[in-house]
Amino acid sequence: MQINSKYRLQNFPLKLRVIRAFDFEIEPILLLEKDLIGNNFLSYLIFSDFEKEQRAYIQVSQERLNEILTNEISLNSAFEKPENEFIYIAEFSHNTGQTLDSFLVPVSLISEALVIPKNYVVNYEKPKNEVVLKENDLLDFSERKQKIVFDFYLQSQNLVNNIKPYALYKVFTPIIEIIKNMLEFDNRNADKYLAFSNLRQASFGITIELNYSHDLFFQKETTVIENLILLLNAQSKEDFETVLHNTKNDNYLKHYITIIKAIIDNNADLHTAYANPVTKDIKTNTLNKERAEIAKKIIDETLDVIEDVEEIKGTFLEIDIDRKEPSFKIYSFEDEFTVKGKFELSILDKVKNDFVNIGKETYVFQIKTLYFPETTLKSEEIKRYLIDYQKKSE
Amino acid sequence: MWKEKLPINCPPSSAKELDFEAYRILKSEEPNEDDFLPYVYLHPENERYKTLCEAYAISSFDSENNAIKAWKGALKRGKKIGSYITKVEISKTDGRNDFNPKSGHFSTWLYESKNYDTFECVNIKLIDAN
Repeated sequence: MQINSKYRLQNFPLKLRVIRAFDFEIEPILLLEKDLIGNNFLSYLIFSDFEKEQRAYIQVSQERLNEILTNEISLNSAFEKPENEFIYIAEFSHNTGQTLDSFLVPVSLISEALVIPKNYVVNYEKPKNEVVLKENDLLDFSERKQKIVFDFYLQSQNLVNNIKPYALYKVFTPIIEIIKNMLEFDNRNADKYLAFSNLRQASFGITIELNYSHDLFFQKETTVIENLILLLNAQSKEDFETVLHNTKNDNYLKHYITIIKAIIDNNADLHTAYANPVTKDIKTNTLNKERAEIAKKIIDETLDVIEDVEEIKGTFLEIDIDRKEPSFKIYSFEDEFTVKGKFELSILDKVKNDFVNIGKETYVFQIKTLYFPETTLKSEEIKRYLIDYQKKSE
Repeated sequence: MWKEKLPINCPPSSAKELDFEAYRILKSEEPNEDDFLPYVYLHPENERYKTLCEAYAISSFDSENNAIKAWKGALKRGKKIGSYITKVEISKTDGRNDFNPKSGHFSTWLYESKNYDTFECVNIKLIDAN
């Protein structure tokens, strides 16, 4: 198509990336492209010989895009009434993909030249599972946010109408706990390093935004999220050994076991994807019931008991040292929950001699948690022991 | 598994192994492996389409009419992609296919074991543009 040179642009102002083809028959006819900040552009192939291709572009909102894809409005109408009244035409070299020429043209030129045939129908069938974010969309999102992003999507028949508590407490929260554990921060700093977006229902999807390093390289969070993907992907003893080798402790395994048990019990599929705005890496994983059962079998056969020691800042709620196995109940200020367990015998004298003020004084407790995985003979068991505590001065 | 290094999540999960007869445009009466190259290999240095899944598939059609309709579309846009049309058998062992029933277009992502020069072309004939 010949275009009057008065419409010529010195430089094509859009830096676009091809995201998806809505019509690809022999050559790419109708494409979705995105600019650097994630705006959608529809591009239609006007001309193509063996040297170059010429494409017409309109910017479209998500709503307008949906209308076009469902043929509520025709592509021809969309180009005749572009939302922002601009139509670009760009020519690209077939050999290099570089822009050869570009124009900003009036709408009338497009309609008079019948650039988009009036009878052109978009033959695109939208995938049913759009709630799982497309990898390129996720990378765009991470680039816009300048953060590592980890997309979480849990799919199960029992989540179609609403989100059940297990999805939050036994899958999503444990994922967050694994991230916190591997990055070595607690709830006090959670708001600083984590944020959530793209909440989707039917089933349950959410994007976790992560910026721990607060720099341009995201080195530590990259290592951690890649290790998390390895963990969710692990299907052999060697896979688990690789993950364990990359981490300082194995405390996160108890959260991982909670996740795989919830997936098995609910016949759920956990789709996860990670995008890195620096390396442009995208990694995905799907953990379904079958894969979760394989992982659980390896964990149960390999690990007899998982030990974890954590510090909790809080107050005593109950102390019973007269029982055969003296017990305690404490309240965590940071996580706002109660923890019950038994005193380790070595600190019993200290407890007896201290004048502990229940419910008033603040302590830093050292709690040892022993997690016994489920076996064919017995169900899983968690035991907690108070191994030390220090009074926190006001 | 795949003949080419494909972009992530390519082919789409909807792509299936199928046995079908397809129609494809050829440059000449003597087919060679260049006639079955995916779009991305026609211009290997072109960065624009390197992450586009469909660019790694070979195109074919469910009928001679649909193939010629697409050929005419390309011709109208400025490119004569070939002058001959052939029928080829595509089998489940060749790769995975996405089919658009509205246009009759197949995208086929080949398995590693399938070579571009092993498509058996039958009924090769000059395209009748009328």
